[in-house]
Amino acid sequence: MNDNILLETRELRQIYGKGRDRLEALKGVSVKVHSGESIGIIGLSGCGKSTLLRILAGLETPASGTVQFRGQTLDFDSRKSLRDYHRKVQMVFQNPMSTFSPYMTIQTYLLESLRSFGGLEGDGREQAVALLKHVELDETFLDRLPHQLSGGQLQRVVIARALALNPEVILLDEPTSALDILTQRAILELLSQIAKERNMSLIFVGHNSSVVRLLSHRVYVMETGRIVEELFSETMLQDAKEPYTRQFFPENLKKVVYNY
Amino acid sequence: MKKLLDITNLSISYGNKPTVKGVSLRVDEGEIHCLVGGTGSGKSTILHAIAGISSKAVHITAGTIVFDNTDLLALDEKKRRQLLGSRIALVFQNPESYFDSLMTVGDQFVEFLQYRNPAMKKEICLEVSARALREMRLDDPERLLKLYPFELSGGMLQRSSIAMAMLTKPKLLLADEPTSALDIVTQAKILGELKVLNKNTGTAILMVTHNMKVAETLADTVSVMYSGKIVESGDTQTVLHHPSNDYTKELIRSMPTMEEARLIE
Repeated sequence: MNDNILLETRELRQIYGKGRDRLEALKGVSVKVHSGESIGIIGLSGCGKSTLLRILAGLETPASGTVQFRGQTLDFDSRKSLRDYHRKVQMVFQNPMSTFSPYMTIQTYLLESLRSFGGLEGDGREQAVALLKHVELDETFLDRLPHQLSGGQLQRVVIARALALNPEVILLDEPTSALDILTQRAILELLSQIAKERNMSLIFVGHNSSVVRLLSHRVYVMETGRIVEELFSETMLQDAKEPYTRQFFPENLKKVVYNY
Repeated sequence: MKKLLDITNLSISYGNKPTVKGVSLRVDEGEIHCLVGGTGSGKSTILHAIAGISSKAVHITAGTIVFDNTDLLALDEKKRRQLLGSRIALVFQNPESYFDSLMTVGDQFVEFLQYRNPAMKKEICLEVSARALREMRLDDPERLLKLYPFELSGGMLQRSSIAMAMLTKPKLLLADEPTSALDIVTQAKILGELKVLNKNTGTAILMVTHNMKVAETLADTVSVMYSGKIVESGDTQTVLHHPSNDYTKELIRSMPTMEEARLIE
């Protein structure tokens, strides 16, 4: 019955801190991603969307609830289970600069996951060139250091590395919010092309609904640790009922400013 | 309208590389002007040159920056410093970088005020600061002043930095992408604050942004920068709805909208 469900969370809860500082970051979050489907997650800073993404990436263990990939429950205590999962689900962070070591060449960075998963062929240079090609960069980038690249180029390299293990899902935490408008557009187009070619699912977290809808079929809206609305991206402008959701539409900017 | 800032034929090099190439720009009293462009277009370089906070590698090779009938580039270092933080104020993209992380927000407000007026008593400083924060619609400013910067959200910190910048009632507020690091909802609120502040105090705002939507929402007039040059400028409605330059058109086209076709089927 659940054949076409690729990734699913059930009743995820997460708690940070204790006593006075206790924060319930997720209060029972259930989301589904079908095969060939991409989803978006929208919410304010602090709503829990990045926590959800880190759990989906297997980087954080939830207090309770489950993550299932193709019907298999991810065992957060088992290194093997996590490793198998990481092959299939890769993550791209918001700030490309923060994911690089300043002394590591682009080639070394690109090949890190292949190396750790034993997929390296020879010195890996050819594999690295192939990865760069997917993100429309040429091999002259291989020997450069991160500071010699622009923000957009760095984000391309991060995406290239995420592709190295041929994942089925890529998790994107505001991948374009540190970039200018033209670079953002180029990265969004690149991601859509890659998702199409490889039949990959994207899970795109952001706060600008006009950006998130471009790369998703469905959108979950999160508020203080809960999903408050679930919408089809195509018709979300018409369908959104919650005023909370409507805040994320770009038209809101004008409305708020003019009514101030 | 009376001219407040008049930049003529400004050229700036970074090392040997020209980054600003003969830019002329005018901001009138009480006006909101947005300088729009991509990363590396030179827009922040201009803002830093006006504020007089350019790095050592930066050289102004030609042009004048006249503020309120004073040629800023002819002033000595000390006079320029006095201008910044009194009649010219500055807010940044990352409010974290505006504050010292090891001092409470209140101590920093007190320091800011006492630096300008050593006779001002601490209690008075805190009262003035609380009033400024309240004007930026921050709840319970007395409590906020006792907190460290990391205890505040990005939006609260940005409001606080604007409140501090406005303490001296500047004639010109320079804002470098003040909302780019914030989520869209907080962004809208901060832009609202800037609009109200402009209306109530008459402080002119020169804001650098890559976001056309932000410019459209806030600015009276807009200049579009590309590769060190201003390629188009005029009143906001004209530039945004009837752009004549190809780069401007591309910027507008690239803004995601709720109506456009999605990129995946």
